Amino acid sequence: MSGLEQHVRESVAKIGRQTGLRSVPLSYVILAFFAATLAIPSLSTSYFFLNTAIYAFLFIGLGHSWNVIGGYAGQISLGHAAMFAIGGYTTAVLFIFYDVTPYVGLVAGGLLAAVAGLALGAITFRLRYHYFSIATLAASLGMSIVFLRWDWIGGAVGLEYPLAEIGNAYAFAFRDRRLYFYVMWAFALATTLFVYRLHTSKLGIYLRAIDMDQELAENAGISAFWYKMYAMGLSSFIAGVGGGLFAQYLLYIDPQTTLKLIRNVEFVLIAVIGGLGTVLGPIVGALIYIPTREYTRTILSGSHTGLDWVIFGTILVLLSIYKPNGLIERRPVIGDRTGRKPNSSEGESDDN
Amino acid sequence: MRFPSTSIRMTDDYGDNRVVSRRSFVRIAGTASAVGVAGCLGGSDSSDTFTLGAIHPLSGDAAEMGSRFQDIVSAGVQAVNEGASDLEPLAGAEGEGLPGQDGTEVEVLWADHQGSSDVARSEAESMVLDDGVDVLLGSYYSGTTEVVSQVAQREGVPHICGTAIGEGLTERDLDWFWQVPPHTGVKGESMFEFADGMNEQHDAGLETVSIIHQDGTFGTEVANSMQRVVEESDFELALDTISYSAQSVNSLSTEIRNIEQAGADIIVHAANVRDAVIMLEDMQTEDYYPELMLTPGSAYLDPSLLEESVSDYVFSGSDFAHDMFEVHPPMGAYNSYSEEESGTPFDGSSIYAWGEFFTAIAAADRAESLSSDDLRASLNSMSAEPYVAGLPYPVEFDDNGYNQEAFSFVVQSEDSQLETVWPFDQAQDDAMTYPVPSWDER
Repeated sequence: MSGLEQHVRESVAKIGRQTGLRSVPLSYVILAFFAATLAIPSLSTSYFFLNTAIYAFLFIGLGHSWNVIGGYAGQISLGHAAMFAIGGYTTAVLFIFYDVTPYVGLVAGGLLAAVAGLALGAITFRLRYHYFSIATLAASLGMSIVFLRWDWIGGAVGLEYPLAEIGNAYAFAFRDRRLYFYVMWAFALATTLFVYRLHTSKLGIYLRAIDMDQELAENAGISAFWYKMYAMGLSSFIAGVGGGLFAQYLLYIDPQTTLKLIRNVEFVLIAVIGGLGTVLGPIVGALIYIPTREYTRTILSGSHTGLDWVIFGTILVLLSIYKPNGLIERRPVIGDRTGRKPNSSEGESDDN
Repeated sequence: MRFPSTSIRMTDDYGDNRVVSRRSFVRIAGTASAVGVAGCLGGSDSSDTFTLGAIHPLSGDAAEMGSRFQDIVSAGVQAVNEGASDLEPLAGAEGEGLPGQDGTEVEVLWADHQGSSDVARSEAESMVLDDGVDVLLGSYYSGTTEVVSQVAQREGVPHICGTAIGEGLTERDLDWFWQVPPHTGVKGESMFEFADGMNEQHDAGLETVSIIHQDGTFGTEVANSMQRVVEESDFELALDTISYSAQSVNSLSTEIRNIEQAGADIIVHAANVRDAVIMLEDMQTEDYYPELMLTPGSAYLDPSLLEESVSDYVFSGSDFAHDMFEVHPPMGAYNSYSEEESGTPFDGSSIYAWGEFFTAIAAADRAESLSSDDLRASLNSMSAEPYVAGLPYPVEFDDNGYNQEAFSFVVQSEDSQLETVWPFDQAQDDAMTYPVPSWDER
């Protein structure tokens, strides 16, 4: 390499370090993103645009949910749709059958999903690697069959919210769709702030240590099982609340929509595209995945059935080649390039 | 993405049009919005066109049927826009465009709900709010129909459903929803009136029933309605209703043996095409056949199933039979037109799409204007004679928006043909084969 070339490379690298995302504190990036996106409903009068934004922000939260257990703890769950469905059904059932406001139902749905997640974790965390993934997928598919045949919750026919409640604030059923955007925006913000806190917390460090080498972590005195249970409970709670929000937006819930196979994969896709075990990963993943899904679905469905998934497959292949850790890459937790401890506040901007 | 059906004949062309249509272009432009550049989507309502938004399954298990819907409705659009006076009394056929609306042209936009309620909702709202459709049509599955009708209710746009037959769809206090075809309860009543008639006129000795269904929305709804009808009739259930996973079933031999042991005279099967074939082939393997295989139609009326020899002699509730044109000549003319113009003849499912479309046309043609309120008033006061709405029975809605004149025939399949066997006075001589020959006699 010539001296000139080396000089240019160093200069470019220096400029990159000074102007790149990693030189900006992560908290600033998060706040700037959410402040900027507040204006989305005013950018276009198009329902399609707003609907896409609503789903994108809902799936930011759901991506975070999966990332907690899949990205941080390294447990590749393929059954997260189960927690999503439990949250959705709990919110819907409490309101439709017992007139419990969804403001309470969302929390109840999250808690019930967390209980289900912990129960699932207690059974499956003894399994390692792909056996865990298979077990979680089987649990979700099994639940799909149960829900399809459970008459009390509508079985295959599903449950519909009373249409007279639309516009009723108590029913959390808004006539103005922009309100749904702000609800999903708040959900995305809350989950992002939670994961931001988790990222530099003791729990977050332990989870990433378990992800890197579970046996080494256990030898260091970290109880892998119990920390994974923590992560599963938190992750499931978020997924449950997300499921409840989904039901509130759709005002209808059925097993086909909540528990279809692809739903399980969607949560994983968002985190994988964005970056496993990072705060910004699910945001980037959801903002790529949802608009692409919506536009390819509407443009390519029908006679071009499946082509949208071919596009996603291609994106994933390219990512796996050029960005195997996702678009937002995670730096090593212990002994990173700067030598700073990852749980120090100074290190937050590097570890995004 | 949606595009006008006026420009299409066949499914392959559909895809090409999709790429270059104006709305596709707008949508593609909208992609830029999603990545940061605010787009300017939507707002494409055209005041000089009567625009219908058809939301149906165009992919997945029911894609072929959705494609037939498109073909047949494209012929209907052509009949209205270009005129087809030979088809009178079909609504809108006597002139170019809608005669009652100064010749306003008709356009149908299509969307694929993929069998998912969330997709159906997105498409319905996009059609109403971005594309400005005047009427929503669809959407075959009851679950997706529910969410589409929610959108119609919220936005005050008529939703005319001619393809979903769920019994409870009109029992939801909706102001903007009208259901044209016989719902599952009416179908069940026709089927068991036919069975009653078989006992009276053919001394069939039918007493017991077994209901078996796939566990999806359609199968579950049909089974629930059939169970209610049976319990209110003189027939008895031979055993509890059987359900199975529509997605994973590979054999129904065990279920068939259970039905055989229970001694059911009639099997009612609500199925998709795939599991209907499994059911019949397994019955052949088990060398078993009930006195009556009596189905609510759907898969058992599908052309692809009728091509299978195992489907011979099955009885089904249906709005369509190949010999119905003898009794209802205008339906024969409509069918010929559709086949000639779109390449697709009527069948047990697509006739519903034809009726759905022409009910909308009949309402629009008679409305004072194409405003939502006037369309609604027109639908509420509609009293269309047989054939006007493209169906062999009248269309007149009750207070809930259900077509109280909807009627289901009973047909029998043989040699890929469906022949009317009930009402007995509409059946051709020797149309029915009964008793049904055993497997080794076929």
